Amino acid sequence: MQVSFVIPVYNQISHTRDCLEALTAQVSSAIAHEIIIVNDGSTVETRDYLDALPASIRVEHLPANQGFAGATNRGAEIAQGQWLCLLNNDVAVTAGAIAEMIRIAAVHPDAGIVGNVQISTATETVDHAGIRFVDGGYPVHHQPTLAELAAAPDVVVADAVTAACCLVDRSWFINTGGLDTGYQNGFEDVDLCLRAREAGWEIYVAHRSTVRHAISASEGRSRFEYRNAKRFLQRWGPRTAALERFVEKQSAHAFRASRIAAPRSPSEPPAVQRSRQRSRAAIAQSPLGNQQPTTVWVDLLRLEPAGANGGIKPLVYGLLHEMEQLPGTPLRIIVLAQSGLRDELSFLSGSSVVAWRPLAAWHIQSVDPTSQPLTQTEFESRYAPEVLYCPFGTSEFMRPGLPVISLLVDALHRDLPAALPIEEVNFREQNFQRIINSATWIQTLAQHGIDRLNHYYGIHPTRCFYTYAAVHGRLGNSPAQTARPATLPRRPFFFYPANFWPHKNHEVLLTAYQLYRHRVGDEAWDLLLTGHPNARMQTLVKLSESLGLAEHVSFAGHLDHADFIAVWQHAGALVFPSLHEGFGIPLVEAFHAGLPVAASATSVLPEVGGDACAWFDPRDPNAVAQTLAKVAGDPGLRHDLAAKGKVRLSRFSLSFEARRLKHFLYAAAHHLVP
Amino acid sequence: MKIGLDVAQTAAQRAGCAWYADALARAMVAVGRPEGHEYVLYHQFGDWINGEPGHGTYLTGRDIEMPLRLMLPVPARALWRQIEAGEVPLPGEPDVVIASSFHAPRVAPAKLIYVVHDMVFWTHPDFATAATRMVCQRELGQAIARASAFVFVSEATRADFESFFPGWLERNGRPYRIAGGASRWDTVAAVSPRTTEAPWLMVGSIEPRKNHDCILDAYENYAARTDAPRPLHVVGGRGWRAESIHQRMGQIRAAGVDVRYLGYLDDRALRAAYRSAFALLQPSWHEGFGLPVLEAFSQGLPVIASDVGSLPEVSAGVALQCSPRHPGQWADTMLLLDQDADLYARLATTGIARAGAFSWENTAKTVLELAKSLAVT
Repeated sequence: MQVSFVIPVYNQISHTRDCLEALTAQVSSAIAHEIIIVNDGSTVETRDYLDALPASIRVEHLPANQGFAGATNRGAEIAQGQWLCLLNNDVAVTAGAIAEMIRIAAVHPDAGIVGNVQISTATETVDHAGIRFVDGGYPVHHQPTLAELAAAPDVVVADAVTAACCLVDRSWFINTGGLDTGYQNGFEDVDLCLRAREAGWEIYVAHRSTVRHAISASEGRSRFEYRNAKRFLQRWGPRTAALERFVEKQSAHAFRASRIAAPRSPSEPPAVQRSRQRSRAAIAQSPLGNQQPTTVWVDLLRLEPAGANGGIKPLVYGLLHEMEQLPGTPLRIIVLAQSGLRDELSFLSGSSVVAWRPLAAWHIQSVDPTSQPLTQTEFESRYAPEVLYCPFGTSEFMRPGLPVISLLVDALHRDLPAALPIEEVNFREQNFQRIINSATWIQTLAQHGIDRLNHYYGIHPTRCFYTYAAVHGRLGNSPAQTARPATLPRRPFFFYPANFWPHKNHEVLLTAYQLYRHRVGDEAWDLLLTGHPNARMQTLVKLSESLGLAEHVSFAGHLDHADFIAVWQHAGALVFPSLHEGFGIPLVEAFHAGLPVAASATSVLPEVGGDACAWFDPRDPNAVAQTLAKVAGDPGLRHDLAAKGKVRLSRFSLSFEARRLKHFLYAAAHHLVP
Repeated sequence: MKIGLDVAQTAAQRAGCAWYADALARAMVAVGRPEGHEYVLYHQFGDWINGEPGHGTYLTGRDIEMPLRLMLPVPARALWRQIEAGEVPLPGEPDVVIASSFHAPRVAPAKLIYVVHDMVFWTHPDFATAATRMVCQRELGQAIARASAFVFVSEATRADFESFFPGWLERNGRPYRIAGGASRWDTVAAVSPRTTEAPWLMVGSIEPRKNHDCILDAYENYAARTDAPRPLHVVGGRGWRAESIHQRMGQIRAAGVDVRYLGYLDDRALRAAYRSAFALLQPSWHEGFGLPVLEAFSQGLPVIASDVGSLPEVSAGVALQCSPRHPGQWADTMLLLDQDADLYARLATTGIARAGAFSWENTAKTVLELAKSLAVT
């Protein structure tokens, strides 16, 4: 069986009659086909008419009206053909239409969906020859004139086609769950086509296959238009918007190429002729997007010197460094940063441009040899962005039509709102809404992040990807142990690197450490805490002093690189009692340094740590104290954990993550599906 | 001496800690006034900022200031941030501040007395929300650094504190007192007879720690085993994970058994509920003090309570004790109390005597004496 026609019917007997007549008359017997009509809860009159049809036409009655999606899915379930032909009951096929679509499908093995041309019976003009996206990603029918259609090739690739008449690969349709029943008589077909593209199928429009469509005959379409459009744009909006922009660029490029090809006037001055030939050669040599490096703007304006930003700084620096060195299509990275980071950003090679924003002025300076400050407009025209990467989520440079990849580290303001001041919770919530509406792709640091975004905001997992923060490489490759600096504790010590934010749970750690010391006595290990100094650190220092721990707990503040590496080399174990994390970079650094890890079993940490950590409940100081005692008192356990950590480390590779990010940046810039 | 009192929690529906803060404030004023002390009441305290001004403990007198009672939340938050940073002095400039809402802001140069109601956020982390835990542990950390003295509402709470900070109070010479609550009403003189429809009563906000599940299980068991089961009345407001309890009560009601949810009752209604009830059931997983037990005793009501937390200490053997893990024990005890009139009468009388041992006056005297000793040093 080659084709199963699936026709959902909701009343309108006359249209259905015409449709079936056309089918029986026009579809040649050479094509093995069956006709399935799904009675979508119609009236008794329609039901009787359908029952009176010849037995060769299969009729499936549904008890209640389920809408176009539900009815079509039911028909697809009972179909047996290799292809499904989704057909509206107000469509009348013409001679050879179906045969042409089948021929196109046979010629193109990557065809998942084949559409055709639909002529409106009311106006005798083309109603549909493919679907394109306008006005920021909203789907509309492409409606060329009949003359243009005759001049066009037999088959073209389209972004989407309508399901009023189209061929769909049946096995893929069933596997993917069919049409999305969340839509009510609208947009299901575009959603299906975009899903097919995502799965790797191509979508073709057969220009020589024509059918006649009595449009606007089905009731109930406009009633749900707004709801359907909203649902569609929430899932696909930023993607189709980027697609629209790319198509515009392509056609602009083609227009330029065609204009350059022909001389404007019969007698051209030789200078103009030469210049025209040069431009033509340049355009011929660089087809759109293939050789030119893709310009990426990286907005780091929220990054501050030293450690106030936490783990995001080593992550971003690490990814940029790796991305510069990756082989393959180059990216032109433009970093936008505050001038205070001049020293830190010196690791970037000359191929990346860094644009400084001095604190007071509004214009952007470049570190190019020209060293002239550029105005914003000059800067944007010279380094026009093709994709914007926002490691802090939002950016002032976001604008419609520019693809954006946003990094959302965590949903702390939803998981633990008590850890943030109320203004920060509101600010983050606003930012998240803005990002969800405009980001082409959302980057998180682990699968856990994607789950949380889906849980709180209903963001579909296909809009997200994750890159592990594998930045342990900055610790170097453990050379011979350097001498123990005098600033480090004399005794073996636990190490907890964390800025002094409430969710880092320092109070529980200090209480647990005090309990551990009380139980173990003088044999107890010391504790070293690092983190960006602020008012809260002073409060914790006072707490530590009040608990009598001043001699054994040291607050080292923010360490420079050499001291930091020394700590990792000389520490006895990492203790990580944080209540909430986006990734937990110190765990991976501990695995790299060969340290045993005692970590809290909440948030993303089990995904990162796996079986390589001693887990505890961070809410209970007694549990933390017990684990501290266990790790400090058992060398065998420590050895075991360190070995497991080394094995676990193989999952985290910064060059892999950088390659993944580069892949997505490239795809966002060129509307491809990665 | 000028005494600062934290009444920030009293602005919302009062239960537990909020009730304690309000009653303590009133009693402190009543006891300290004749000695000539002055008072400042803080209706916004530290990070506890009330959204609507004007609610909360209201006491009149020339010796009483209420500088923040009508302050809106945004300026109140800004003011406390300034106080925390040391930019402005505490309004009223008291000598001693008694913090009873778990918050320990910077009140220097006044001395801070920190009231610890319980350590549930660490001993039973499942029974405290993440938000409560974050606030309580942060503020407890601040209190350890800042407070000059501590007040524990029960010996059990003090033991919990000691389990997390062993020997700390003694080593650092921080004075402390045990100052519990008391019934808000006068103790009745004699036990009034109870009708056969007098219901079982359970008082407590609907949250996991109060263990309503146990009572509903026990009540179903009890109702199946007796011919004329007494109804069950559940009193308590707010709600945290309350949907399942309400659903269950609905299901039991639909099965024809008389379980009623009365919501949050004010003073008079609550006293009437106690007076007309048969006995109080208190199956909590943990209590810092357990005010309903004393309130029930003061109205001549026998009590069946859990054997955990502060409940054995507060009831001192007068209440019948059961394990909160075993609803069967509760059903058995309920049947026993139903059938044995002598036991009932004995429990009611000893309960009245036990309630007489607690009074807000005593609590206030204890705290006042602690405050005076701090002001001297």
